[in-house]
Amino acid sequence: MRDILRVAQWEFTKGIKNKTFLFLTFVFPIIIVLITGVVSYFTMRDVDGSNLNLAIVDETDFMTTMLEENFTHHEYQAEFISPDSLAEIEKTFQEGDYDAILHIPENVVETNEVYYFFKEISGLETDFIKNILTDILVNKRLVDKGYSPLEIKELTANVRIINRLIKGEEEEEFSFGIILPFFMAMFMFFAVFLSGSILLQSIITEKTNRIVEIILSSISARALMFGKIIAYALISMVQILIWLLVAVLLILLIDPKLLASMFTFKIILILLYVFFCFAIIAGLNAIIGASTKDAQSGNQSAGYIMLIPLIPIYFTTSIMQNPGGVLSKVLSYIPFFTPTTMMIRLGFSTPPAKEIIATFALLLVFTYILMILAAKLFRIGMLMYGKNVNLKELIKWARSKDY
Amino acid sequence: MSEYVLKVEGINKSFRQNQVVKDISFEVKKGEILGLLGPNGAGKTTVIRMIMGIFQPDSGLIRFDRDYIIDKKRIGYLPEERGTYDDTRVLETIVYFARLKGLKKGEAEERAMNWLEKMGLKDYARNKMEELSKGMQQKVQFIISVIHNPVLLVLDEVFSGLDPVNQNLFKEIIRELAAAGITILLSSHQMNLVEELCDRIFMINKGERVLYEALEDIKDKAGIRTVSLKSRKEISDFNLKGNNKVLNLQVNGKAASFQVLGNLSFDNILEMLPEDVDIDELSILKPPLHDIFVATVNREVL
Repeated sequence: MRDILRVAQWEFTKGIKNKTFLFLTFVFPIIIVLITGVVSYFTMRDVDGSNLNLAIVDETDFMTTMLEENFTHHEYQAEFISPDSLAEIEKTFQEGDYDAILHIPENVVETNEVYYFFKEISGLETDFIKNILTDILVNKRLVDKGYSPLEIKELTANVRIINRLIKGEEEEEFSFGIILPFFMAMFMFFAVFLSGSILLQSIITEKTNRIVEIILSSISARALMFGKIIAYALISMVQILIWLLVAVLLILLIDPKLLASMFTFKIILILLYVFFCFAIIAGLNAIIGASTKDAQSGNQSAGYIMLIPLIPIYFTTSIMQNPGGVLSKVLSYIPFFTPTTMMIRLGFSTPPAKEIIATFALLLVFTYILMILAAKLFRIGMLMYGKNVNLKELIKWARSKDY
Repeated sequence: MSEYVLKVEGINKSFRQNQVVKDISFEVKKGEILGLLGPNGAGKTTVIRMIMGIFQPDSGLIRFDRDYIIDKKRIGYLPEERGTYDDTRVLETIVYFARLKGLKKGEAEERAMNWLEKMGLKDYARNKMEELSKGMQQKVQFIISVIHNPVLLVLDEVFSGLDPVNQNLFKEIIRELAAAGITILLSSHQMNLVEELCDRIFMINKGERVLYEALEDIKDKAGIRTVSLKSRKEISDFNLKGNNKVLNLQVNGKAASFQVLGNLSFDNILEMLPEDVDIDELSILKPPLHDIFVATVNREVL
């Protein structure tokens, strides 16, 4: 036990000074905040179409006035042009610096069709045009049928949806807070993968430069492995805490009310799943690290293995839409996938308590077996000389009784 | 208390089809320095790695006497392949390994500083390991292997890579450690150093034992003496007495030298010398370990 603590202490002080770790801990949140800001800025600009240089060819006798009103109301830009023919429209488009041309044919009331010419995909922003034209045309048809403007207003009134989330007895307006646990979980998993890969590096370094011979002449391989795993678990925790702090500060800036949805019981469950995820990754990395001959091949195989627990992320949409469905359930009970799947399910729904208990029980048993196996393979692998070990040999080692 | 600290009994080891250690047995007695010799590829390092539990022997036993070696923290080990961390500081690296051997932090730091001073590395305590030269790193690794005052010290190729000055430094320190009662098993190529240090020799070649005796017995058994002398006046006639077989007789002015077969004593040799030689200087040498080593490896009869 004392050996484990000494290794853990040493590895912790070494790992916490790791450059990749420091960089990602402090720079990563900044980058994320910047990217989110920039992306949402551009998305907002694009959606309203106000940056679109649009030309409108109106062949009807009623549209122009109403379009102008509407565009001014929404602060959109549009220029009305009147070329003589369709060919003329295309020519104008080629020559002019319009992003898009909207062609409203004379018979639009009957056909319900307009034409939209655009140069680049970025000009393909037609939802706002569709909404405006629909409003105008519906209005026009109703006027033609003899309805008064007041009647029309009543008839075409939009349905208002009031979002209310039921949480036990309480009701709550929908907010970003509901998916906040999901984002936090993503960050935690990232932290876990990061420290998992630093752990792998430290194992491979000690193996390839043979320091391990000196270490294992003093302590057991088991103490070395668990000391390292504990150290990197702590490093992960430090990183998560730093990120949480940044998140809390950001939320305080944006909307302090969201804090309540950040610290819920779900977060505790997610933290537990994150812990198991780390244990699984660490166990796998101990095996990979000990059975590779150099950093390069270590990174290659680790690259694939590290992906395994991430596989459920590809199914996020399916899990999100049907958190209690067959796919979600199957993935929840495959130990490698359990933490990630449950994290996604927890992020978007509340899985039944018995499933949560069952998955924790499964993870507990699985992690225990994995750790015993890893300790055994670690002992043999670390002292091996100069070759990569294939799966067949790993199985042979696992069965050997020598150690 | 038994006589030995470590006992190796009939160990064998093969890598794939290739048997690199064949039925090796020896003991390391309490307080002695046992030299493990052999040419490159003889299996020395494999034997040491089996002793250190890095490899398991295919068959045979490696036994530590429980009176001396309770656990592996009582052993000090300098491996042949000397890895270090690059980015950690010298002192903290030594302290870490000392603590893994069970020393308390304060004690570890104190001993580490003493050893660094002894090795002339006191000013490098705060340097990073990668900033040290190879020889300096080797000194640090040596410190790591002895800082906890082990009962048994296993040194694999301890002198390789050292300049003559540092070889002497290491030799002196190993002597001190032995005098302090530490039992030492060392492997080396440097025959002159082994000769000066070791009480007994275990020599292997191609995985098999070829010699295993006290150094003096080995030399006696080699059964040859190298005699050289100087006379006060010119030697005109140099006729040796007796029936011993003499080799390489050379007479040159006032000097004469020859080798004689047989396990002869000093008196025996004096009796052989011609009476009319007025001896000024005389040396009678048993063969150096180097010669025995080369001869044994080449399977020559001396």
